[in-house]
Amino acid sequence: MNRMQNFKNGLIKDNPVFGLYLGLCSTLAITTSLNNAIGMGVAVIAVLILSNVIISAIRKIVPDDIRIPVYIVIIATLVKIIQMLIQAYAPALNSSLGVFIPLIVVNCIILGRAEAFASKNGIFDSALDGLGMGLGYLLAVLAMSFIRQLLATGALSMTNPFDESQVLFHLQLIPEDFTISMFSAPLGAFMTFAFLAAALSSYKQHIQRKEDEAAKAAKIAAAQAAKAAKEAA
Amino acid sequence: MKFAFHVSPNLQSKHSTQMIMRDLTIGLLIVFAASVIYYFAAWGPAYGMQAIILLLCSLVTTFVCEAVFAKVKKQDIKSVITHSFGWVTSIILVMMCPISITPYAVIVATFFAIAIGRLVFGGFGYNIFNPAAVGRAVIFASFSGVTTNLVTSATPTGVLASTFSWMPGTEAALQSFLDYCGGWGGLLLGTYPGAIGETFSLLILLVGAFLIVRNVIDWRIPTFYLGTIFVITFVIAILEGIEPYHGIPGWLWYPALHLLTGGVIFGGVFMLTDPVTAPTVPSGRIFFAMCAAALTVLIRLKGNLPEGCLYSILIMNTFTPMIESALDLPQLAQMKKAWIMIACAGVLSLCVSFYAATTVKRVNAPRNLEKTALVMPSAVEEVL
Repeated sequence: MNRMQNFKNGLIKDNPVFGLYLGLCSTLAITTSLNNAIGMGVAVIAVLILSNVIISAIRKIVPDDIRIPVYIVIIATLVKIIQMLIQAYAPALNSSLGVFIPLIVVNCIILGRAEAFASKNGIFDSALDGLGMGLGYLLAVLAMSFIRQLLATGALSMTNPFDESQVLFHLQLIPEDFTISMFSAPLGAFMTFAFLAAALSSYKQHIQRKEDEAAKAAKIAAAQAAKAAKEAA
Repeated sequence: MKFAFHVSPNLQSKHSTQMIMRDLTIGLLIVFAASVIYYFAAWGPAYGMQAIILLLCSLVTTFVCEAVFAKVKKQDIKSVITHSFGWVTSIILVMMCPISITPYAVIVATFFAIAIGRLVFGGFGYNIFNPAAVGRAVIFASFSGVTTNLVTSATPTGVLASTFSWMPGTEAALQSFLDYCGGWGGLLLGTYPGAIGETFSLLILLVGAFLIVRNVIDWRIPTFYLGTIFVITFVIAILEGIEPYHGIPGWLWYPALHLLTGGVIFGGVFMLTDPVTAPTVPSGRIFFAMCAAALTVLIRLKGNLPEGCLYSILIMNTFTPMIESALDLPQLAQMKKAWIMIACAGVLSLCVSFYAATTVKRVNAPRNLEKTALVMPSAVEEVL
């Protein structure tokens, strides 16, 4: 139950991008197409799960004073492996993501989860947390790139990342004369991000208010019940 | 006994927001009507109708945006619409657009101007940026290439930026530019392809003077804005040694060229004076207008962009809260600080002129400019 809650928190409530505002640099830069978003999201999930597992496994033998350099070495090694794999098997993705693949090393989500969760919890929990947070990141970049690609090019398209000539789907939803090219620029990235973050924040407020009201109602009901019991006595 | 409660200062003023906005709307509509009449008379009914269609699109979008927002926030729709004065934004926005723009671009720009430039900040009175300028910037970022087939030639500011780098240095170069946009009279009356609101520079000044007399806009902002642009370009003309044009010395026609092109008059009269986004302190307004002028010239000459006026307004809007808090002092201390700030702005303007004059090369050779769209009858026939 608690594990499930942890996993779900990463997806919506504590979404790393829109809830905790971590890893924004890559989010803003690469969300111009669904292809980039999925490539980046999968790379981050892989690094996050592996780094969480390794850091959780060695958490008892790492001295507290030098834990950050140790984490960084582990994360950098994993990122380099992922980068080499992408270079070898998906060269098109590598060229379109460019410098943002090596920059996963300094993505705050990964070091943040290592520091906040993996260094204190068991291996399985850490892996689950990594998966939840990674999926949260993937969801966030997908949402942003969905909006940006749709508004900027009028189409939603995806190609097979391992073979770019193979088009999975291409839907021209908005005629080309009616696209808003601003959304492919950084300006559009910031605007999309702001609106999605605001939407999540208002959703969280809404839930919080509901919970508060329910707690208040329960309190009043309990007080009344106590009063009634007293009177009856 | 009845007590009247007001927010301080308690001095009763006859000028309510409603009255100010009514006067401003009338002033804007006069300029707009003049432009529409001009387009009907000189270019044909298709152009005049286009201007009216653009305004209608913008107004409808504004009202729809505000109604939806009021509905979501569970407010009274009618009172929200009448108290947010969205139509002023739409009219200004449409007047800043060229006639060749598509209605779709205007609708999107109006949505961004109203919903993102104003409503998400909390509505009328809370917006940081001039909403109309936000809408125009959206058009620049997204729709600069998308146009209808009504007018196809470049605007004078576009020509000045792209072929003369804002610095036609000799009589021959200026002559070729003036031939393109219909001489000095053309620049003054706006008989060139440009923004709808740029059409009658003279009329905009007249309406501005009327609004100043009615106490709707502050005389300081347009005066200091246009004055500073004049002084900066005057210094540049002298430093560059710009040659006289038919007896008019270079230091006179070059500033005039800057003032008459690219909607600085419109921007100075109707946009910088926006009571929400300009500082409320009178001395702060002078500083605000002078800095905006320096930025306008800097963006024109060094950025080589046609729209210095628009971006300078947006940039200075971000500084408004800073100017307000800097001048939030007792009267005497405020005056002293204001003088220092204004002196700094003056020095900054001079630096801008020296910098621009020493780094921008003047263009001496006349250019052969195609006047395709200015051949009016054929252009109209094409449309009809």
